[in-house]
Amino acid sequence: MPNAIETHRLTKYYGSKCVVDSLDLKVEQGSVYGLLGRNGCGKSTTIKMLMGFVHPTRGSAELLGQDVSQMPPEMRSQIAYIAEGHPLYRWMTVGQSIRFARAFYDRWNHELLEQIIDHFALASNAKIRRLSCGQRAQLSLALAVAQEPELLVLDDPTLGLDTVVRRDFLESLIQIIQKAGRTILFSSHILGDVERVADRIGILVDGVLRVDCPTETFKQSIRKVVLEFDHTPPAIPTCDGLIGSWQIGNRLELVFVGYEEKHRVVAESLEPRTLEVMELNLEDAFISYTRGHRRSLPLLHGERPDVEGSRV
Amino acid sequence: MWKALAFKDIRETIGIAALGLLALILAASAAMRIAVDPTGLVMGGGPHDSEIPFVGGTFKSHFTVISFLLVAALGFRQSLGEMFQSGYLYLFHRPISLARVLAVKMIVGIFIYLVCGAISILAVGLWAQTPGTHASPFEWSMTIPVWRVWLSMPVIYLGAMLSGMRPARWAGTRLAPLVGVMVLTALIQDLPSWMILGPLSLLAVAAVLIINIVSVSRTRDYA
Repeated sequence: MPNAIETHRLTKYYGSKCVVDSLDLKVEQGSVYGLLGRNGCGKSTTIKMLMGFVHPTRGSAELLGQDVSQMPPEMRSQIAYIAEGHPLYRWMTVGQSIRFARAFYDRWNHELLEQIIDHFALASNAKIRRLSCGQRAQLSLALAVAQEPELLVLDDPTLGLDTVVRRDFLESLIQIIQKAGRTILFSSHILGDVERVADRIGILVDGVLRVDCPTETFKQSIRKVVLEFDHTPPAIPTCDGLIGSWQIGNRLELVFVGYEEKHRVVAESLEPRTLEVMELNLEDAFISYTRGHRRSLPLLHGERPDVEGSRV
Repeated sequence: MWKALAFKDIRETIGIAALGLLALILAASAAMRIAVDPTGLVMGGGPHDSEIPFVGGTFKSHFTVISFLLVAALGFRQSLGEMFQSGYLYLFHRPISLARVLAVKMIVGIFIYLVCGAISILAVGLWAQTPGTHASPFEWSMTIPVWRVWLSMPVIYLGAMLSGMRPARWAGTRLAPLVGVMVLTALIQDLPSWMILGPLSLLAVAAVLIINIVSVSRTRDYA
């Protein structure tokens, strides 16, 4: 399947600081891709480079097969973008905002838009500045969907939304977009959202794409090994894949990426009284993976079933 | 889409335009010796019967100052104002070229100023032409110095817009285009054979500014 998004060594420096470092990202058409990372890791800069708002220092990006730097304006009608904070003109009413957006598109599904507006119970004469953050997110989603895009890019769309609105937003997103087999790239801090929606995740750590694999593969790859000792735990031997360790009294917790038998052997060599291998949910796996010694993180590669030489 | 863009920009600048027009009307009223400013503070003490319209008095200086403030406010509102609340991330992703978006902005901003400025000059001119309003001769050619100022202000507007568009770390460098254009415009006012060289020079400066505005908007990062 062709890629809806493809970047080639995409790099951005602000002054001497490298914000995004040689990013090679591939997002297949029809997939939902979650871009994760801690604050300041380069998620928003990456998305802004994809949308042409930030010019890369090096490298290139293609959306729907078109180089972003050469993209004709008309092509943007096939790409919906919801920026962080859901920017809309606050002096407009919901109705004015719809009329304003509609004026730019030849293809506009007004029936669908009205269904979504009705579903979210957004009054046409409501001023946008009086809408809650959640309602602005809902309106942004409705406007983005009405243009019937092939690709939808959302920068932290659920930021600032309460749990119920967030859940409602995501379920609507899944129903509306995935039904038509469109591609979605979204960034988020909320791992639960990503777990619910994304087929595949990418984790940026200090501007480097450290993980690019199916969500389930990532969860399965991270294991926490809890060792209990009768005495102070011994020094931990160096070991490939060990990304974090914490000592709490006589208890030692080790986190491994790409956990396999050799890691168990290393853990057993410490001669603990008990040894327990724990699976982690996505949030715990993400935290364990990203809070460790950042630069020493191993790259987590996996298989992409139908794309040769890609990373998982 | 042109209508939608123009409506948006008119709606966003209508407050500034209304304030500017009010100030220009106050200046015109003072020149017409209509007591609309009882404090005497805004217009600097009121008119004198001995003033010759457009030649003596303070209308030209008031008109220049108010026009400058109006075009600067319009230019910054339409450029820098878009940067607040990330409006550019919404606007610039519409399927229309940046140059067209900017063209609509510039046309709206300049048109608003030209209308406001022309209303005040014409009001004072028509008053001055009416017999019995003042004890001095009047020819429409006496309005030319003020029309020169009126014609120069769109260039200042473009300077303000460029100042608002370009990324800058501090106010000094941000305001550089505006200050530069102010100096150039002042020099152009004193050109010999102004009727030929003046408009040509203003057009040349405007062209350079427009090219810069479009270039900056395309090459800058909207981080």
